Amino acid sequence: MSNIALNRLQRECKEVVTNSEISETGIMIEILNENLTEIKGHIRGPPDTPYAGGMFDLDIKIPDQYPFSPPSVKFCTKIWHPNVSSQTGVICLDILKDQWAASLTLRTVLLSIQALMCSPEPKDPQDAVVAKQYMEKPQVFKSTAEFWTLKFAKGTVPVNTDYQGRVDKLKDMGVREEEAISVLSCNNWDLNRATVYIFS
Amino acid sequence: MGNCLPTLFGFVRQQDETPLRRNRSSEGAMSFTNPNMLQQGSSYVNQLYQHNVIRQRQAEERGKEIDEAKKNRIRGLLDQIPADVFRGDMASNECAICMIDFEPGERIRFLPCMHSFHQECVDEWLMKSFTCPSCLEPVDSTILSSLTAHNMQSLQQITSSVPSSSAK
Repeated sequence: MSNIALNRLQRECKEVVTNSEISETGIMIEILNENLTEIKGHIRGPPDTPYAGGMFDLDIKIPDQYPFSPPSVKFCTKIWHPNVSSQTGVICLDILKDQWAASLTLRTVLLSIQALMCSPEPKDPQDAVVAKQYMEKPQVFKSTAEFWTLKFAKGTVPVNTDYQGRVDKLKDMGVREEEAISVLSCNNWDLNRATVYIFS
Repeated sequence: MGNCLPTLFGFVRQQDETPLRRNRSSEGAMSFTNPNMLQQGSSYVNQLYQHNVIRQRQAEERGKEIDEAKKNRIRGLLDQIPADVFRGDMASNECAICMIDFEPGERIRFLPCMHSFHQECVDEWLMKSFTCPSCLEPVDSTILSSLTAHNMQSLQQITSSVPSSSAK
């Protein structure tokens, strides 16, 4: 890693760590290795969204050409969002690709991702299934995203007993909980279709 | 593709050296046709492989040439962007790329959008993307307008000193 990159990252880490607005914005970073190439980001789910109350972790990898190339950022907490892959956590965000600018920082990247959680852009989706549900069945999308927040991001909303019941039925058939939630979510919580999908 | 050929040949050679060789006469047809087919096949495959390698190398060289031409073009454009040595009385104070404060004596480049950076830092960025790292304003198009603004200024100076040149 170049000197510019190391210098900048040290300053950026200080910026995020010492910034007093953290308690307000709910973004945080954690350094995983000494040469600062792997960093863990945390974003608190924004209020008034299905992600409220959850804590979302992100993997941040710093490339050698940083800050001339963007960091690669993906969710490691599973999240139900049109612009994030529900399988891999890959994020579709322009500033992480062609709209990257050398003056952007880890802090602005995390704030942008938080803004994306507030206002999804289903017309430029990463996960087509989630985006379709977001556009066609907004209520189902909202309750599914809330269920995922509760299950994977330690959310605090009361559990949706209807959804939990269907997950339990699949679990009784020997399906792992994570897979059960994923397949049910992709099939708009239709238990029959989910069962056919898994066992055919 | 290149990797499977040696194993094929190795396999044939091994077969030849086995004690089964004695039975060669009975299997004559097999042992004659098989290596032939392999040889024919392999020369054809080799040709394909060589063509592929040549084509790949040519594409790489062409790509390098284009890259080099692009870099040279950018280097030429960089010369037109104003740069100066930083002085304490200048308004800007931090380079947004390396996030380090400007020190007196360092080379600073001023982009047409009025953002300034260390020359070393911003030149590396401009090689990748000809936009301002802070506001993403394209540098290409604004260079011209800033140059014309500069020219206008000098024109005005001329007109104020020599009234006759204003007619032009």
